Amino acid sequence: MSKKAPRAVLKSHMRKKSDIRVGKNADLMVQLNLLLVLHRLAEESRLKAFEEKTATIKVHHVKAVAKKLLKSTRG
Amino acid sequence: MDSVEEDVSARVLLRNVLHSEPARSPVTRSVARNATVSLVRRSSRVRNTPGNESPQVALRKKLKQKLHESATQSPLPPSKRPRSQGRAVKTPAVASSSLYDEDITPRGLLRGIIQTEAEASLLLSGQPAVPEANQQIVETSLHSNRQSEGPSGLELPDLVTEPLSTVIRGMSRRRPPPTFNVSAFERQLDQQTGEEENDVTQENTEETVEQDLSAGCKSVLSLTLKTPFMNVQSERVGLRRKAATRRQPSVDAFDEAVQKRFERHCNQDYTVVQDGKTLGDSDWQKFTLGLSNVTMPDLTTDIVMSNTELYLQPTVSASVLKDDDDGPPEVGRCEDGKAYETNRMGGEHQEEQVVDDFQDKLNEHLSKVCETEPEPFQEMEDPETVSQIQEEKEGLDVIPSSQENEPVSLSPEELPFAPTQAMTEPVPQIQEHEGKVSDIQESEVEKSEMRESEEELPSQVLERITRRAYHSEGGAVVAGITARGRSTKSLGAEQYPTGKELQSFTNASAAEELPHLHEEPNISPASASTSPTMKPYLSEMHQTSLAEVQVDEVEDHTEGNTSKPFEMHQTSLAEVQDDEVKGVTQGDNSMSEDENIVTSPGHHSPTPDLPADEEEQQEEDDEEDAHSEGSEELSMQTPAFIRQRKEVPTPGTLRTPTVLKVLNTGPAPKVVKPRPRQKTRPASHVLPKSYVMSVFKHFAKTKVASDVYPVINEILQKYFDRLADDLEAYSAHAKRKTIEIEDVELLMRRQGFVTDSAPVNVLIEKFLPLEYRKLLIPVATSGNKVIPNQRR
Repeated sequence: MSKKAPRAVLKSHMRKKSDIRVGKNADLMVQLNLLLVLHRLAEESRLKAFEEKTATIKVHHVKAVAKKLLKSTRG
Repeated sequence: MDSVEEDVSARVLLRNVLHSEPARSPVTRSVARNATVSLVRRSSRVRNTPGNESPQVALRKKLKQKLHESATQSPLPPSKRPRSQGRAVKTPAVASSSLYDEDITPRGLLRGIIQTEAEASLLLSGQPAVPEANQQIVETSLHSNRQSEGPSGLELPDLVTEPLSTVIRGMSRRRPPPTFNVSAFERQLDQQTGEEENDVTQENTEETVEQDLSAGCKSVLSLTLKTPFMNVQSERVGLRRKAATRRQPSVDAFDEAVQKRFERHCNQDYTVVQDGKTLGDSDWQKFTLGLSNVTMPDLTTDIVMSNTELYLQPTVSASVLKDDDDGPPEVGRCEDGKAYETNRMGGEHQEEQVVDDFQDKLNEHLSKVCETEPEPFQEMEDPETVSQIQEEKEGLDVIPSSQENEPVSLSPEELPFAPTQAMTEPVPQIQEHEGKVSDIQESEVEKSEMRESEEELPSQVLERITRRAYHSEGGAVVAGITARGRSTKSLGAEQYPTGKELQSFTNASAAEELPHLHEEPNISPASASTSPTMKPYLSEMHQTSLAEVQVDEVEDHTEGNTSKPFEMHQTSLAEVQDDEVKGVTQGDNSMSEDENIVTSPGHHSPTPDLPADEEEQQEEDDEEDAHSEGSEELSMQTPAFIRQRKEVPTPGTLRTPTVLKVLNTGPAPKVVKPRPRQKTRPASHVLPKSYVMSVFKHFAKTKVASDVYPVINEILQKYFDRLADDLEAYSAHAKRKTIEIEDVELLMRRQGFVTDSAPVNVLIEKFLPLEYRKLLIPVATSGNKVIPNQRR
């Protein structure tokens, strides 16, 4: 059931700024990173939604957590 | 010691018993046994009775004493006798324990009861019915029995009667206590205190006592099969086993009632809902000959009716039933019943009337639109009328609000409006109606159906469409238009032609329609006339939009709009609002269409999922609803946005023709850009929506609104930007020119995903699919090989 993100897309993303090269399977790690980020995002959104006592994650839930999350995942 | 004594006492008792028994009076032992029930009370009496003690009595006394001793020292002895003795001991004063020995046991008691009961049945001795008294009486009787032999024989007569009375009382208790005699009750109370047993107010007291007394105690004395608690009727009425006094209605009576109900409904100003409900009763089935789906449409009509109540006025008169002339909307919903009945009876005319009635509600624009709409609609085909009728019928079924039967002539005019009224109907209901109507149609109007079936596909399509449109409250007119549109569409527009293609197509379709329209002279002029007139009212009425659709089709041949009823609606709407002039620009049409389309989806969610026809109808309804809301533009704008969003991700899923899509994409009326509907990927999509959403949903573990994707998209965009920057920085720091795994790992550590307790490999194992894991994590295999190859 685990999905796979298109590796090419990820590579392109990594190479955004400059024509820096991407090593072997590095994009796999990026995929892992992406999964982790999404996981955290979903978790936070879910908590936020629960605060409003709704079992469904809505847009405003996600928005509310987005900024904080982006800040936290700075590197 | 004690035991020995006890044994001795038992032995002694036995001996005494043996001796005493033959010495008993003629009174059977059973009586005495009965008396044992209430031994306790009487024992004291016995004791108190002045006694000319006989040797036996003296012996008894001795035994008593011994028993007392034994009792105090030990519990009941095991043997029967000793047990009885023990019992006797427990009882305060057991005069003649020996005598009671046999009777005290339950078996003995029962025996006595049975015997005494048999005996006592013959006697009727009035005695105060008091539980205590009874017991006392019993005791006394027992005692008397025992004492019969002795000096207490004097008491015998009284005592003898006592048990009988008590027995009688018990029996009388069993009698169903009809009444409660207060006097008797009072007497009982008095008697309870006193020990007079001879005061007899038997009859009443017995009864009352019986009532008052728990049936249980009495049942002990009198063994009967009657339920013991019969007396307690007053207390436990609910527990009684009674056959519910239900009247079973006869079928005939039921039918009559139903008939009456119908009549009543017709003549009364019933709310639409009520009418619908009554109509919806299964009773209808009995009456409806051909309407197999009567019940279903009834329900829907209820819904419809409830909606239409806003428009309809509850003035319904019987006369209206048959005279509907464009009358004021009062035509009355209750006519549903009438119309329904009439339909059943007669059919076409009634149906038309019903439809007409429905239309009447929309008098405002009816007059104007009537001309155009009904005419072109009628023109459609010969069976048009039939179809109309069918539609009407359908309208009837679906919209029972359709009121009375109007002259057929009116029907065509009203037809187009009728549906508009029903616009408020929710789409699903409409769909249901459609289905039902289709069923009903078939069942009801054989002719029309036959004709329709015979007709060509387009005509059939048209009819069907018209029906649907009708039911969907798109009005007969709209239906006609839609049918036309659909037919044309179905014929040729199966593909998703581009806007232009559609336009051409629609033009062609419009052209096709034109001949239809022009068939009747009235149509064309009417349409022309109506179009201008329509304009002012369009904004208000859905109908106008519908009419406009027709008009538009006829006159403007707007692109794409006509091709699809949906489009038609939209165009009509747009035209109403924007274009009152013929030759509406495509953009306008598209705008209107977009709006309409947008509104429709906004209002009724997944229009693309529905079949084209349904979509169209829905759209019509939606549009109507949207229009009814008020500012059409506003209503259309918001949904447009949403629809855009939805459309964007699923370019190919929509069934709506590209034209519609184009229209949809055109957002607010201001923007007029036909968006070529193709698989245009959103420009800034970081990752495929399917992947992102699936992952998100998987991680979220709860329901996720599907519209969160754009937000996630933005977040990911920013994230990726930052990611790239960081990785680049890291690799640059390592003086490399390629981003390696280590860089990413470092990034993750800095982000906090990777910690000492959660090393990278663990995370890899946790999240990545197997193939990737293999690539990332070196696995040692046999032969001293490591996979992947590590060339370090």
